[in-house]
Amino acid sequence: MSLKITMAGATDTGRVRKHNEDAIGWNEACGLAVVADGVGGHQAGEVASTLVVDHLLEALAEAEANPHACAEALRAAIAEANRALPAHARESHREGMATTVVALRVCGDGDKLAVAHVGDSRLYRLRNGVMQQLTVDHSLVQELIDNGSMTPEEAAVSSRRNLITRSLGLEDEVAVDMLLTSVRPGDGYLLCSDGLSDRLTDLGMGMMLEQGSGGPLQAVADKLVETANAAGGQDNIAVVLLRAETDE
Amino acid sequence: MPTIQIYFDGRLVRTTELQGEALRIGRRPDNDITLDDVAVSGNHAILHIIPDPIFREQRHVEVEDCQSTNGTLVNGERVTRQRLSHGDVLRMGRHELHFRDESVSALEQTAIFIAEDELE
Repeated sequence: MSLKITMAGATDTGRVRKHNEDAIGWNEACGLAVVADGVGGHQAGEVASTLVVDHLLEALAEAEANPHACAEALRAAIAEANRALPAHARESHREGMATTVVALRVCGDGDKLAVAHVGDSRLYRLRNGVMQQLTVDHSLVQELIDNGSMTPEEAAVSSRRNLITRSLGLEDEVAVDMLLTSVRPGDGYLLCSDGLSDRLTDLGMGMMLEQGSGGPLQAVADKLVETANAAGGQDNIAVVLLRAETDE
Repeated sequence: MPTIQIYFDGRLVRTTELQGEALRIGRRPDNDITLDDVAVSGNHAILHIIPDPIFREQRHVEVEDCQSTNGTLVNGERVTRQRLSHGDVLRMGRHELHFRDESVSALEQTAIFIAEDELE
């Protein structure tokens, strides 16, 4: 079965911060979607996140049907971006700049997704009305959840939830978490920075994706950003959405 | 975090942060908040603290009257169950409860966490 995947995205500085250090990118034709959340002062964060998004869009501009080759090329492109960041930081006197990334590539017959992530930017899937987080954050609170010293409910409101344990740009080698998953017709996917997932519950994001399923995807992306802003907009907000339909 | 300030005869006697799922208010000592007041019923009212289904970190508070003899008033009107807003004044017997909810989150920013054993 061949699937048609549509994409849309939106990003915003939010209501509190001066700069938008989040970056987004997508290419519907080759089935690539990226969200990155930069870290570092003096605009270093936005340089880092933009560099990674641009690198992936350039390096992965050709679609790759074979799922394993597709995933491996995604991982390799992220590793390259990780190595390119420190040199770029030195040149522009922005040492210490870093970024998260969550990226996916559509492969197979449009029925598979290769997913990669580093840090606390997330991928969610809406299937049959259920919103599920597919990535596991590389964050301090996630580690505390894993060792049993914090509940997910406590983590969601913890003052330390902004601390990430893995990022691109600080070390030569980075462990990129990879996932290969099957796509079904009707699925919705949401990549986001913590500026969205810290403001809205999984249920809230899922409901908005579900409610917008009859209309244009761009309207849903804009609405998600608008709602996160209405809820405080304490951080930069970034979202990229995918919708899978049977190709007719 | 939402709080209630409890006044008796116009005097502030207690401030309580609203935590958990519910707080029971009444004259009997087994309540979460005991009001020593003959005009307050044994089990007078419950404050329900309800997490918002859409917005993280946000919760709202509803007051439910437990069929009290003299009733629970919100801004002067008798209620059975009502959602509270910042600044609402509840009256139970000779007690006044001022509801305050100025939930403004601190500035949030992504930062790198480096474990202490990784620092040289």
